[in-house]
Amino acid sequence: MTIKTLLSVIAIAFFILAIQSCVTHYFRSNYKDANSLIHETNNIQTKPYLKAHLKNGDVCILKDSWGVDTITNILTGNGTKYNFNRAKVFEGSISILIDSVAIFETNTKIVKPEAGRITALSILAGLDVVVGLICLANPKACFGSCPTFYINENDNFHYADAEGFTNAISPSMEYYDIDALNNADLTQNSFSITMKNEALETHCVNEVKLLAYPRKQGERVYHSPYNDFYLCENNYPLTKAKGNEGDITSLMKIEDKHERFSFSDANNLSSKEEILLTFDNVYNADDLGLIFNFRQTLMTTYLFYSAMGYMGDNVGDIFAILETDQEMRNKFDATTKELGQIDIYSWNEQINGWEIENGIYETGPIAINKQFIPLKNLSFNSTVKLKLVLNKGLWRIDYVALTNIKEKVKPIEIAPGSILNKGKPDNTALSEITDPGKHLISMPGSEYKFNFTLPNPDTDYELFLYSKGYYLEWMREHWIKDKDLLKLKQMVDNPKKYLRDEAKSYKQYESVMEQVFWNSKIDTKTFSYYEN
Amino acid sequence: MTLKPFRTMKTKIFIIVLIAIVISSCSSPGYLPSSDKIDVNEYGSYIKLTQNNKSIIDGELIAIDSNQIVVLTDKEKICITVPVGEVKKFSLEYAKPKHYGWSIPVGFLLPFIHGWYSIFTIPIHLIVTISVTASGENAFKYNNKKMTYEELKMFARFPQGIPPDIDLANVK
Repeated sequence: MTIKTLLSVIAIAFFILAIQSCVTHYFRSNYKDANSLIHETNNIQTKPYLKAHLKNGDVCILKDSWGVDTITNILTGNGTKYNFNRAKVFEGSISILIDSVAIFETNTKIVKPEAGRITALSILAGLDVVVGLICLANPKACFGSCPTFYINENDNFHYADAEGFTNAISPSMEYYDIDALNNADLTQNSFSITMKNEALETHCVNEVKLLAYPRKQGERVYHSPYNDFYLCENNYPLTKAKGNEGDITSLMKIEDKHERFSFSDANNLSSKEEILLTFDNVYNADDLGLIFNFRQTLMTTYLFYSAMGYMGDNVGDIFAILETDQEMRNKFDATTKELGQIDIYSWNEQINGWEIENGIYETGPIAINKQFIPLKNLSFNSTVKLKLVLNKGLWRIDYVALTNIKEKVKPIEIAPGSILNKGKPDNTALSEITDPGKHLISMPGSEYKFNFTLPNPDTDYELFLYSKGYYLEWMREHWIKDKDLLKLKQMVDNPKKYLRDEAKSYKQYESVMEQVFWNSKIDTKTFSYYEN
Repeated sequence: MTLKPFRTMKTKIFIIVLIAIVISSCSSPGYLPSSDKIDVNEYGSYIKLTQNNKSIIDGELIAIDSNQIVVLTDKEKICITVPVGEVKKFSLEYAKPKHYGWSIPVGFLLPFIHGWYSIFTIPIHLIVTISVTASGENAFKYNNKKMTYEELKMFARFPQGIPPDIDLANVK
């Protein structure tokens, strides 16, 4: 916890405390004679109850209708009389000789004595609702996320530049992940990236390195799903995009994190939809490729957490099976496979029909993936038409554009020169990251800053992040009560039926989640390479 | 990772729940009114006297003058007279407090729905709920720092002093 955060926590707590701070009530007055009583209570709008303590120890408690007759020296009113042991002896109209009264007592009402405390608890409850909704909207921000990487270490999860090995949920599922960093022009030969564990997970990171390829003015290097790298030039912006909801061009034309997404089908989570893309004025149709910036909604996160919940207290046994049984491991993500990838088709004028180009897939709802698909089936035409077939409610698409491939290239690999842990060099972490046989263990709240030195200070590079490892999701107590091994079996053996059955439950979650997710986005950063 | 942190956490939860239960179970004497019925209560307030020899006498405040304090003890139901000079300190409770002890375990457990942010929200919850509980318990109290013996009279069953014809042995 940083000092700034600590101070914020203390400030919030003290603000709430100030609201309910202790108040000493002064409400009681005693009068030894009737004149003082009359004088002091004469101007009061609502007459208080009056207690007349009699000389013999009895007490009369008179309601607000009491009065003092100064001529007869008698106090009259309706009320109750108690003896010295406070047993009730009379109730009704009472007349008391003033001379028999030892002391008069009045009390003013204490107005809403609990108001401050109730307000404090209400504010706290409000805080719970707000944070709870944010967590519901983006569970990964609160509960789970593979390692997140930030070029600017002070950014939050909305601005993560990459997320590593999202599917590696156990040691045997370890794999490497490459993410384009979409970096701005480099002006020096040093580059740093910060890895955070913002989840209730144990991250076991085997390797982190940079992949770099030099670029000149007007050139970009893109990464394909098959881990090929392409040096490209020219950019053909989107002319028109049409989805089921109508024109969505403005959402997909600019890299601005205003993404196009749809809601899931209430009857079947694996329903498909189509998006039609048109690119006009493509003056060079040779070796075209599609730039595609996208990420997932929270649907796969929901399914993963559901699976964990279904495991209940058998989670250890099931993960042991996954570790040792390759066949089971392959079947475990059956629902994700059923949801499928984004299929890209191109329009072929010659056959007057759509031809499949390729598919694109990357798990993870946090960082936007910047990927690239070389297009091969295009017939020459200055207008290029593409069709995306994708699962409803699963994808957020930020940006699409066409570019020309100059050549396929191979970036250089750069290992970190140093690693900072809380600002201090951590040589143990460095040796763990550079030794293929070791893992850097990153616990919740950990932050490691990786420093790299680029080969040539006078060269600008396109940078990609290579991260390899796996992570262990921490079981939540409230998940255990959701144990349902039959549901888990259905997920694995009959994903189609599971996705139909679960559609309504997800729909309830999604309706809140999507709304709050977008409301929680306070600021919009421009991620355009050229504007950075 | 060992299980030690989890065991430690369980112990902490247990202690917090226990404190909350203890605080909540501190029942007030039956003669104390709720805060909205202070003006029609016929009894004296509850007083706890700590004497110089550290012994404690508590019960209903019957009367007080410049020399002595008379307390009807809650346990024995007898009137005890304590010389003012022997009283080291006192605390007086004039209405039944609202108990918020329940909010401490709730305030500790609820932030777990905040996931990672619970690192920040748990301390806020604990600070606020413990403070609310404590201030709730102390809402209708005075002590010798806030009140003089002269003012204390107003909270006695007999603010005028013991009536001359009353034998303290008969006071119940």
